[in-house]
Amino acid sequence: MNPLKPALWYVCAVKRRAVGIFYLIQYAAFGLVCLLVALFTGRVAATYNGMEAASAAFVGVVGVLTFQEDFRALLQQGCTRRCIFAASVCQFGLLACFMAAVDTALTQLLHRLMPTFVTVFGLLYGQRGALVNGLWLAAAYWFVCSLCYLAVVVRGRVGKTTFLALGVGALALLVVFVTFLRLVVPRAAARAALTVLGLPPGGGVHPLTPVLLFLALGALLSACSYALLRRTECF
Amino acid sequence: MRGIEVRGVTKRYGSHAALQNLSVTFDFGKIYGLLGRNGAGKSTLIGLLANRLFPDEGAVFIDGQPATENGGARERIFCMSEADFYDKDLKIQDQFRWTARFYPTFDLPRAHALAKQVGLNETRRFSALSKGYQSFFKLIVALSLDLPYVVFDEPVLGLDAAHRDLFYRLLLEAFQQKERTYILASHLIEEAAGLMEEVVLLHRGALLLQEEVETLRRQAYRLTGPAAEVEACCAGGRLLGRQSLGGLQTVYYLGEKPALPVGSRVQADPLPLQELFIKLTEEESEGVA
Repeated sequence: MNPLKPALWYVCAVKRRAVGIFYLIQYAAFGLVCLLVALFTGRVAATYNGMEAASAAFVGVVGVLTFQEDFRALLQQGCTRRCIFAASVCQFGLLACFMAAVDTALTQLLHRLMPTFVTVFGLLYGQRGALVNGLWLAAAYWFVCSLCYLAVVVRGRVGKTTFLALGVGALALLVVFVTFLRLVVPRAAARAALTVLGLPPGGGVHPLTPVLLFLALGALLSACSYALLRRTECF
Repeated sequence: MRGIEVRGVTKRYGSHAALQNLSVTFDFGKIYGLLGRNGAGKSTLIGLLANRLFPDEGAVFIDGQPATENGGARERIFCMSEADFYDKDLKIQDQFRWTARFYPTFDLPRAHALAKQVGLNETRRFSALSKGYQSFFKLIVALSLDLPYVVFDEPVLGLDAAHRDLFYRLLLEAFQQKERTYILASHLIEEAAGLMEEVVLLHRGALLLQEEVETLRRQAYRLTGPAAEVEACCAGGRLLGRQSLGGLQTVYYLGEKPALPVGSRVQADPLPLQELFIKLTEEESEGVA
């Protein structure tokens, strides 16, 4: 018996309801905001553009829960860690694609209905085709999911105290780095960073470059997660 | 079927060794009692069998296959855990359905029938069940699986007397229907003693005793009577302990029971298993002899 198929079904099925509830709440809140704006200003306009950010936060939570709950349940069902990891990564991919498709379709529709509504992708790269928008979102969600999964796997391996110490240390390093950004990062490196983010300093926009960047980073984070997960114990 | 072999396993938590160079074999087709005091290493051993933990040294084999991260070995064993590893928000009927998807040998109709028999409401979520029913849900899963090796970690935790009795009967029925190995880790030794064919007694992470229950019942005894006469009767075997009360003395032995002289005021009684294990572990802990 290959347990990957039931394991993948399981991790997806137990999140199905949560995804539905998330979208219900998200669009109910959005509808309420639009209604309030219409009531007070007398015109239909969106001032809330955080749809994708909320979805990114949601996929991050899914990444966390996939380790905290599914890992234990799947071990109990006789799956090996390799199988659990494969199922988790496939789930992240499927979830990222699904949510990116839904978000792209809905946000594109909202943009047509209310030109004041701009997607995150539109803010960064200008309003473009739905396909490239969806690809960028899927890659970004996959990256966030992988990052949160790695964080929670690290926490599982090193324990809460060490993890908190690591988190505070990383944050402090980030603050120092950002403070001295202009001093420590050479101009050439800054240009290169902008280029891989799809915004070359010479002008023009290459939105597929960050897609590849997110996919590569997500794969790297997943590889790190597996390196830790394969020796993670369950108490 | 080669059984379960634990070969030279050591498992440490920091500086504390939960298991120390443990070697033990569980043959196929027997009901074992895995016994020991709190912290003896029972749950750690079960964690290793279940692939939840990794040994620091040594290895565990299931029918000759390494138990760690091995899909082939995973298909041969199921470990019912004292801890709750199930999704607490899933309904019991869904938990059964998922188990059936992971284990093709899971008998879903039997699980439904057992749930009905014990009054387990399948439409309730796992988290909404009482501790006793949570335990029974896990027992039903284990009892409905047709696997060569099934391990129970504290199976009757939270169960009332009637449900405990029912579990023991169901376990025996399942064992009679098909040969397999059951390993029961329990503190309720006397209650489960009637089921066990062989006991494995762990103490401080090491194997203290592995013996057939019948042999132990035959060989474990206590002599009670006037101190001088009891001393005279003490023939051979392993002295487990000694208690004095006024002029009366009780000695605990493991070995061949001596023939008492005619007219002796010394009384020889078989030692209940629970008392035997208390004496054995006390002996190791305190050096009583």
